[in-house]
Amino acid sequence: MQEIMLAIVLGIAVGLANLLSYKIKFYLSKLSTLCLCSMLFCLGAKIGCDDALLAKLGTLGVQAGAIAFGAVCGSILFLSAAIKLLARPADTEEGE
Amino acid sequence: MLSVAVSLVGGLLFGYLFLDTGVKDTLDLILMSALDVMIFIAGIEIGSNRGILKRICNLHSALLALAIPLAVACGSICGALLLGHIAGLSAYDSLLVGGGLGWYSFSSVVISAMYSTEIGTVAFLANMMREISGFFLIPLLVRVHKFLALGPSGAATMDSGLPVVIKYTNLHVGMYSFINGLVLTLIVPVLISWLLSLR
Repeated sequence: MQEIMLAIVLGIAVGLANLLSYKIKFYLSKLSTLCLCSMLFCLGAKIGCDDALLAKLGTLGVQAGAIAFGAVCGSILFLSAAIKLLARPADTEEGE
Repeated sequence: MLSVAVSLVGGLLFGYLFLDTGVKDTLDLILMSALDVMIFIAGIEIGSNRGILKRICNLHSALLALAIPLAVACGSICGALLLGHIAGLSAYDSLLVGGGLGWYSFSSVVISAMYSTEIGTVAFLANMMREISGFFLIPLLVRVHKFLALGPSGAATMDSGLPVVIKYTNLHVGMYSFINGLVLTLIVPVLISWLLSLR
């Protein structure tokens, strides 16, 4: 986990220092997509090679749906409260 | 979104047809290495967007820009805890899944590699469903208040959700959307690593 924190801190430092050209950033964005696809491929392979997990995929899907529903409703509810407390009508206008 | 689905389904088929559970450690190593690179690049993108902070340089806007992601994070965690309990998950597992805050790639990979493949799968599905739900809910929620568009997608409001937010609101709300995603993206690694350290 420390390496992840180190990676994000190093990344922010490199971004703030503005060391990279637009062209390199463009290729980094492609590399990021490649990493995402590799990660998801490996995640899929990890699930696919585990027969016990595959058998439970339906149940896990229902649990995931419940959590997604709870997280979305909770976010909207808490966000509504924060908006009522802090937001002014002008905050959502482009002219502000 | 198509490349995400193709990669995941391709991996599922490949794993099902050609691999056995003995390769899980190798897959974890590839997962974590790819994640490190992706996080480093995400960090560069965050660091390169200094200009966005200059646009909210008054106290009220800064307070609002911080209150929105905090409300989204607290709401996500409370909602996940409640509905996770009803769905039969332990409070700890529900917190881990909800703590992904919509960042499905990070939460699923880290939870899968460092805790449990089963809960990692739930994290992937839940946070992916959350991101997809944003595409349908944002057009409806903006009728109540434009800032509600920042609720459903969580951390995805700075990338895949951003064009949808801007399309149904405006660039000004889009700026808050980016900051919301940015702050949530910074919260997720800290929150997940803290939760994993409690085991």
